[in-house]
Amino acid sequence: MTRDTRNAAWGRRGPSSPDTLFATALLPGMLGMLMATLASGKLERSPGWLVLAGFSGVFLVCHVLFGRGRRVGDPVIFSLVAFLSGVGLAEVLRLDPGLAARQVGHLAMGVALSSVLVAFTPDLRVLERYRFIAAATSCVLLASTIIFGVEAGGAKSWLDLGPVAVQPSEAAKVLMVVFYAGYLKDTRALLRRSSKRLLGVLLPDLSYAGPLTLMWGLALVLLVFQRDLGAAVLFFGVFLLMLYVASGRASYVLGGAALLAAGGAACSWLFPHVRARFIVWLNPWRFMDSAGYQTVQSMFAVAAGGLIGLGPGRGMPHVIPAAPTDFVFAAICEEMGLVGGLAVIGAYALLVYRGLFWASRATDDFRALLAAGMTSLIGLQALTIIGGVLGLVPLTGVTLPFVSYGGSSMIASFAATGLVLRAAREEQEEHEKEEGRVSVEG
Amino acid sequence: MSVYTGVTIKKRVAWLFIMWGAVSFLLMLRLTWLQIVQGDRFRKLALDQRLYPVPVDARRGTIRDRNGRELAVSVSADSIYAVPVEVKDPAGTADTLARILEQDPVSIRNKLTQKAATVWIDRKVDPEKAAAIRKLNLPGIGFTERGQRFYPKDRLAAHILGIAGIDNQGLEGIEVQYDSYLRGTRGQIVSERDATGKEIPGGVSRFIPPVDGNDLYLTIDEVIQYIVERELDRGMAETRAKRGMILAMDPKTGAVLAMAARPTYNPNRYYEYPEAARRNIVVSDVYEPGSTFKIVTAAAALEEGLVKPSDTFFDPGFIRVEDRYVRCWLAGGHGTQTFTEATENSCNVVFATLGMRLGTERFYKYIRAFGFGSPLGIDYPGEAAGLLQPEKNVGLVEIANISFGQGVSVTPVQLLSALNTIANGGTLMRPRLVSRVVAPDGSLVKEFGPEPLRQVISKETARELSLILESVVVNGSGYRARIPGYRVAGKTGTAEKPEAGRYGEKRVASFLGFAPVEDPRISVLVVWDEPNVGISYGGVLAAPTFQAIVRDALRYMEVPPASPVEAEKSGEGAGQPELVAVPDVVGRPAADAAKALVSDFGLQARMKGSGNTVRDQTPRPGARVPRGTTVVLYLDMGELYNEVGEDVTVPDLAGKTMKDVALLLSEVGLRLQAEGTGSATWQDPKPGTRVSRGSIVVVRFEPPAAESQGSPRQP
Repeated sequence: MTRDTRNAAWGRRGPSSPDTLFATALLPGMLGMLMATLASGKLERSPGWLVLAGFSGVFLVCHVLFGRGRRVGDPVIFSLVAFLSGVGLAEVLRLDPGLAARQVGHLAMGVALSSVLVAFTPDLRVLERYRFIAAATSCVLLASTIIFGVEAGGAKSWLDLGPVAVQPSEAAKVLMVVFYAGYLKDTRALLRRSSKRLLGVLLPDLSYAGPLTLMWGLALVLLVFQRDLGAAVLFFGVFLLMLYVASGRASYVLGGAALLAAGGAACSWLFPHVRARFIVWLNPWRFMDSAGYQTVQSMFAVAAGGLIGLGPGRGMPHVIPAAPTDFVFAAICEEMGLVGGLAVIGAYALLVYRGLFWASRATDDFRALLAAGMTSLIGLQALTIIGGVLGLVPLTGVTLPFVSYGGSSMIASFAATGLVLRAAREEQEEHEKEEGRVSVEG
Repeated sequence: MSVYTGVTIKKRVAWLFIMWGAVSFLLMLRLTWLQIVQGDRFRKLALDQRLYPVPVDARRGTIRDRNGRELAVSVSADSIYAVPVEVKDPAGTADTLARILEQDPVSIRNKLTQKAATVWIDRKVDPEKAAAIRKLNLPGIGFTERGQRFYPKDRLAAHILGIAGIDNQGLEGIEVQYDSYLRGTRGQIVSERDATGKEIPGGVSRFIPPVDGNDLYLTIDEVIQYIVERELDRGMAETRAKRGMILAMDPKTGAVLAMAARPTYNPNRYYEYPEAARRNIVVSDVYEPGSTFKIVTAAAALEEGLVKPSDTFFDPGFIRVEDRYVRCWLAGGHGTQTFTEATENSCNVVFATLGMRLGTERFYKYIRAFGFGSPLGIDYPGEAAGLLQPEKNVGLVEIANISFGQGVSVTPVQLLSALNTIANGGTLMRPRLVSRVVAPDGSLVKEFGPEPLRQVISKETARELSLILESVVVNGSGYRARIPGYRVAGKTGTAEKPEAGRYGEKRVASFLGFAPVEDPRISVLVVWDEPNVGISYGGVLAAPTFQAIVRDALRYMEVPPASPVEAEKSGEGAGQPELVAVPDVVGRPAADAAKALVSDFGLQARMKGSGNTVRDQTPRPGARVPRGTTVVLYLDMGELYNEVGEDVTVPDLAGKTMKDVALLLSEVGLRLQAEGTGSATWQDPKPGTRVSRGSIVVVRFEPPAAESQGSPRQP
């Protein structure tokens, strides 16, 4: 009986488990915020206290509302998100208390959205019906930035709405994953039927090749018109990963990756701003005072951290450009050391593990693909920017989910998490129903 | 039930996670490698980069004349830089700076937001503006001192000196030719700054002192240069020429004593002048020399034994060369004449005959040996080679023309060097402008002595030709170059200017010569390009300029006259002019001095410069000059005729600006070593102290008192 092997759901281990886990997850962030506040030297009237209180409050309320974590879908995912948010907020607080105060607001909105999705979504399958609306909305959002967007940090991905500037591509990403899940569920059977071979490689059916090419084209459009390498990688990368889950064909993923690489190479040949990124990536030291400044400063900051870091407030992460947003991981490594850096990477790995775990358990195709897709979205984004900060891959202007400062990104990440948690909760509810049936019958 | 349930989906998801785990592991490895393994190396690199270096310019070496008088000095000027990470309000700061510096706020704002350790906002800022910005105490804005080149004599020797750029780099002239000696080595102030760009107290801090540049001593004599420039200005006014150039050299050593050209420019404000005005045409331009080139023809013919001074020729006014007639400039010809007389008359027919007797091959051998057709290697950038027609194209007609200086192009430096060869017993010397390089501590770095290139003609030929050229001045076309008391040799030249392949109306009037014949001390070439006063003969327009320069120069150099008898005999005009001793009027009020000269001594007085007291005079006191001679009274060129090694009095510098101090010190022959910026508050030695000329005066400058606390980060 396979169901029994899946009984590792955390809610089963007794009431104290989610509490302990949750407390453990909150602690590093709160400690970091405390240290940052102390290091700032202003103890009275310091915004640090408000940030600390706001952060703890938001997550505690959520924790309590969801039956001390038991009804949240997956307390592990919830705790990991709380951990990442706390560490990120601590570093943002240390860099700029003003930003941290606003970030608490973003967190509150994100947690609220997540909670609504977990608690009030009637059934994820309802979402499936709106897959084409999701795709259309996503495309409109992307197009809006191409037409009305303002440029910031080299990428034209911001919409200026007066008091706030938003990044529509963040919402577009989540909506697009919804569409992917629906689309791949529909065409799953078709996808698997293809069996033509050329030189030993499975050739895709037109029904598969069409959308694949379309997505590839979308990625390139993003790259060229929005100059947003990060978004291009995410849109196409998540699609490929979900395609693999749906079709089981690794060749599609490899072929798609090759296509993306070829497109990227062509773009870097055609467009100087894309080429610059690659050249700098290959040897940032040559450009350490100009285009490679960010990368080099980031690596310097990471190296300065050592094993346990300099402590929040004691390093000099201000030197890194975009420290609170794209390069927050470098700042964390500097002040929290190898321990902090490994913990963050580990947290994402665990998050991906839990997300994929629920995908593998899903009793519904759409739910499975949605969980896998949202998990991939968060995970891939984290890998891309951490790799960039560490100089392993070309820099892309994406945020570190939950950690970087930024409202659009924060809310989108929480929305994605909310959907994963919802999938987990639906899974558990179905399981409980079955168990209930079993116990009634037994 | 879904098709995804069961083993397949699990397997795929498991693979996905394994991949994920692998990538995460890779990131962790990379992180460990960066933080632990490479940590020390990167931390050191980071320190290097975070040590914001502020460059400290080396003091550029001084350029002096042969007697140590300063021609180009470096004074200090403020430069403003920004540390972008430290600037709190880029927009506001940019607006403020833009207003004071009168610059575009957008470009300043762009500089303030650059991702760089430091950026220059403006360099060489006026002291008042710098003080105004200091007062604001803007975060992220710092000041540093940078050397500014200053030419205390303005236009004097402008073409020789050239200009130096804003980064202490030579751009033109001697400044670029000897840049490696002059520039020194830049120093640095490095101090570790924290994330906000503030200096870390007790942080790593180093001062790498700059190594000051070396001083150059030119072969130029400032006084002779001044005489040359004066006569050049006068001549330009009198001849209304398009361009003019004068070159004075020491014929025995090849040292250039003075070199000047018109149009000219002021190197302190070089950007206000057209580029053409900055061109040193004496070295870089070629022209057809006309009759002055006959010295080369004569030298070759005499050396080859083809002619003796006493050989007689008959000039019917023309000579048939192949199918053409070469005409003498004198219609009807000079008739029967000796070779000496032919040279006095500058007879084209005789020289064409000699040229044809020499033949292309022999003639070209001498032309090349005299240094024409290739650069002589003067230590100045952009020396022209001159133009010789290819030998294979040169037939009799061309030879005939070249014999009197048509169809050949030379630089003034080449032509005068050829004359020097004759004055110097037949040895061609390399022309040169710099005599030695001296380190800031006074030690000799490098010396450039006279450099003989080759023996072109024999000593005997050289002497013979010298006497012929003397005869040109005594009896011939060059009589306006006569100087009472001295033996002068020379040659006139009136060249037709080729225009679009043919010779037109435009002329180049020139004269070159040397004196004294028995022991040449100075040679001078005067060239008026396109004079515009009706006549254009070199003997009329250029010889008097030559005469004035050489006369004053010989007196200045204290060359004794050959014979007083001769001096009286060859006096100008009809009667015997009465000689009077020039009185000493230095130190007297200018008006008094002028009155005394005119009424008591029968001399003319001319004042130069602005001021009320006579600082100097020429001719010098005691010199015996004909009644009616003009005595020039210098009212502000205090240094002009002073001797090196004299003691001078240190002036009071308190409260003066850096530029005034530099000027004042340079005037009395002292060197400035400046500290700080603003106005002078302290000096060593004290005012009134007697020190030897060339001593250094250390002067401390401070911003006006109210602002002195407002510059906390002045490096």
